[in-house]
Amino acid sequence: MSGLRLPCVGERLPDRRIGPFDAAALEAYAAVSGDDNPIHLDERLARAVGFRAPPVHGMKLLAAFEPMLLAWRRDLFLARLSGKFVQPVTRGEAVTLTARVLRASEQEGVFLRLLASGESRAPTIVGEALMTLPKRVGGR
Amino acid sequence: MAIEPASDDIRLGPFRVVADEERVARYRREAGFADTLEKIVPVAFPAVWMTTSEIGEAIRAALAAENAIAVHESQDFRYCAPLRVGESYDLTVSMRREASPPRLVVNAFVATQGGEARLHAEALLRIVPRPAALEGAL
Repeated sequence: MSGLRLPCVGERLPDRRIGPFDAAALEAYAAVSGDDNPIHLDERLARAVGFRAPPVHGMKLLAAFEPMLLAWRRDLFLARLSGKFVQPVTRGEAVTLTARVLRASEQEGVFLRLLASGESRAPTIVGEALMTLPKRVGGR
Repeated sequence: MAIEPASDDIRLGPFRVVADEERVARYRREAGFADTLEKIVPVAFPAVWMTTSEIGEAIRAALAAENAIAVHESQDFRYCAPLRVGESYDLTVSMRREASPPRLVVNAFVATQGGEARLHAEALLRIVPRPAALEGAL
């Protein structure tokens, strides 16, 4: 992995605030993703299950980390993105995405801890990312 | 990176899938990508391929014997190399049950038409009793 400019362990990326997402935004994501689970779209159903509003698709939030990471280091390839969906954020809530460098080495690349939090500040996604130098076969 | 399903998994596919330019662009917008990142297929984009009717039916069939639903617990994407806009790929899916806690583990393997691995994605679906409010809804 020669040539990798290593960040400092502990470096925190600039936070990214997204949302709040309205019903139209959830419908647009459902349409493009194919995830048309009515729990995300039907307020009556969401309330019946115990949410105060339809929950935002977890995958929509997980996907939102990528532009944040590429804005930080466009020279790296996002080789791994993972997240555990801890608790939902609901329609109308803003979400804050944070990322911090956990490890960095020329051999393995840059590991980051990812957190997405709703307005309660409790984590909604706990994830991680691995960024590496682009491979010759698929550099983008 | 493990790139082959285990022998005792339920297997689906291969399915021919495409990183369709228009759909990729819409997905980028919904994920908040800047316009300057227009050539990128988002890392999470293959999730759209997992919502096809064949895979959805297989998941429902795996839960058919119990009054339960699957809740998306976690998602992992591991890439060997990025996908490219407009290119077609072969998607193979495998599923297995885990007993404790009750889960369905869905693995997706994406390769070029030439057989070169591109990514492995794993979704953990927690199996929970169907809430009464969801009867007939999912």
